Amino acid sequence: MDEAWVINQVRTGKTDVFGEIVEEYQAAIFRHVLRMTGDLEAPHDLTQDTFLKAYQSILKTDSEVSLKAWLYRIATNNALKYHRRRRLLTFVLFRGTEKLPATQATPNTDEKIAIEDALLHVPPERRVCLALHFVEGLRYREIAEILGVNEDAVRKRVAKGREEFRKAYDSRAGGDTS
Amino acid sequence: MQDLLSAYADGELARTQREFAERHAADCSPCQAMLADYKRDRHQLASLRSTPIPSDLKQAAMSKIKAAQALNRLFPRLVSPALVRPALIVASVLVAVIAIGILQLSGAGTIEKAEAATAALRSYRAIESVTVTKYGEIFQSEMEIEYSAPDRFRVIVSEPDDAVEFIGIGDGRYVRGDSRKSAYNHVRAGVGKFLDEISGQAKSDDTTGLAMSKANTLEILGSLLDLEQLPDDMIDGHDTLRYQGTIDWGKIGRESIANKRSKVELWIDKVDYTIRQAKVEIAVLEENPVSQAGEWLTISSHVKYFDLNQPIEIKPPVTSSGEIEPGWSLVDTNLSELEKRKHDDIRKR
Repeated sequence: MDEAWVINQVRTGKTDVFGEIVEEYQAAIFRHVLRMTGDLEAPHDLTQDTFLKAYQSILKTDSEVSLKAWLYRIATNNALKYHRRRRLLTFVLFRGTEKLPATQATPNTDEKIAIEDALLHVPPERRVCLALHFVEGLRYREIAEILGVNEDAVRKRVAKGREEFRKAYDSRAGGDTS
Repeated sequence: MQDLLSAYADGELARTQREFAERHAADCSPCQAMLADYKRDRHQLASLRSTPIPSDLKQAAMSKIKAAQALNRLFPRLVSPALVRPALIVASVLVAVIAIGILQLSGAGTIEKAEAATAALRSYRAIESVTVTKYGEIFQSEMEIEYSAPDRFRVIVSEPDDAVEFIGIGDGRYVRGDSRKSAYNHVRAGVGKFLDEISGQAKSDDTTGLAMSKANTLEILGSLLDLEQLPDDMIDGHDTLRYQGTIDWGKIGRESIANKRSKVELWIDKVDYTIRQAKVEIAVLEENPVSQAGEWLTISSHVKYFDLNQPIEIKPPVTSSGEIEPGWSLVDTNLSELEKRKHDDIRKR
């Protein structure tokens, strides 16, 4: 996809062309929001909102944009806002209500649940780095651009986040011997 | 060194640093063990890449964009109400849940009695008005709530131009609304979950007939700050004792207390110690997505409870032949086996 061409077309009022952007990034954005919220249903809406905001932003500005970074940034903000809201509600109920996405029933479903669960134990500011780097395959400098921090901060967050991830994973695996 | 080694494992170091890390790791067995762990993290997290996505995602996103575009043409200054409504409903439910939770509160002496009375409740009706102020806009909604132990509830959320109704019977969840698709999404995205949580709790052995268990009530009770008694009041013909306090957010939520404020008022029946009325005000500091400045999102709720322990019949919207009544739809919120296990797992912690 020629992003610059698509963006130009969108700016001239051809909304349908934006579908190409959605097509290209929907899986990555959906996955990212899923990782960040740990929620089964919310990513469907949050992904749509991400594309809506990106579309509106394209119309509002005529500057050159890195679409990928932009989409991840919007998606991350959406997910964090959602996360905060959920945390508040979770608090009210006094329970850990983080719900895992239902993965397809495959032989390694248990393992995947354990990984998802462990990832959800990593605080959001570091989870976002782990998700973007390990799941989405982004480089540290790309993540730095998305989050508006320097590369060194990303490096630290990845290092600390992966420790937290492993600790959570191992403690779960250790306690789950059935 | 750990940061460096982690970045080295990820192929994220410049040449000089990479060579340094390489040389060091060659002679350092703890670092080698760490590198093996890092390799495993990478492999495990990369396996999450294979998550399937909903088939209608693109179509849904494009529909939303076109709807927003059409709205913008009609009302250039209006932000898509579709984006605002879920927040309002979620906020309403939040306040309802808090209010119901607070229903079980008490203050020394009186409060223990109120707690006992609440714990014994088998049914109630409540009417709640909620006002949400967000980014300078005000939203209002009214809720009618009915609960009947152990696991039946009915909630109608009315807004100036819309109404959505939910019924929960055991595991069954039904929804009816003017904007069905929208309501359906809300149920899936938020409301349904909280209602599930409520009914899930009600089904537990420690049932109180209300939103939360006794243990949770005690936890809230222990979190109240600045509890003070105000002059007695009369509510719907009942003499009540009146209390006021705030919630210690940090103590309960383990979250920063800096971005939340609260005020709680309770009216406790002098005769049977049930709660007759509650007012809750909560303010949360949020970042305005447009200006990126911090703004207070405020939620205020006024709840009145009645028909306490009266027979309340809540029936599923199903005809005698077993079909769902027109206008209603069944929402599939049943947890899969895997999710149930996950939930049990979380509960045990």
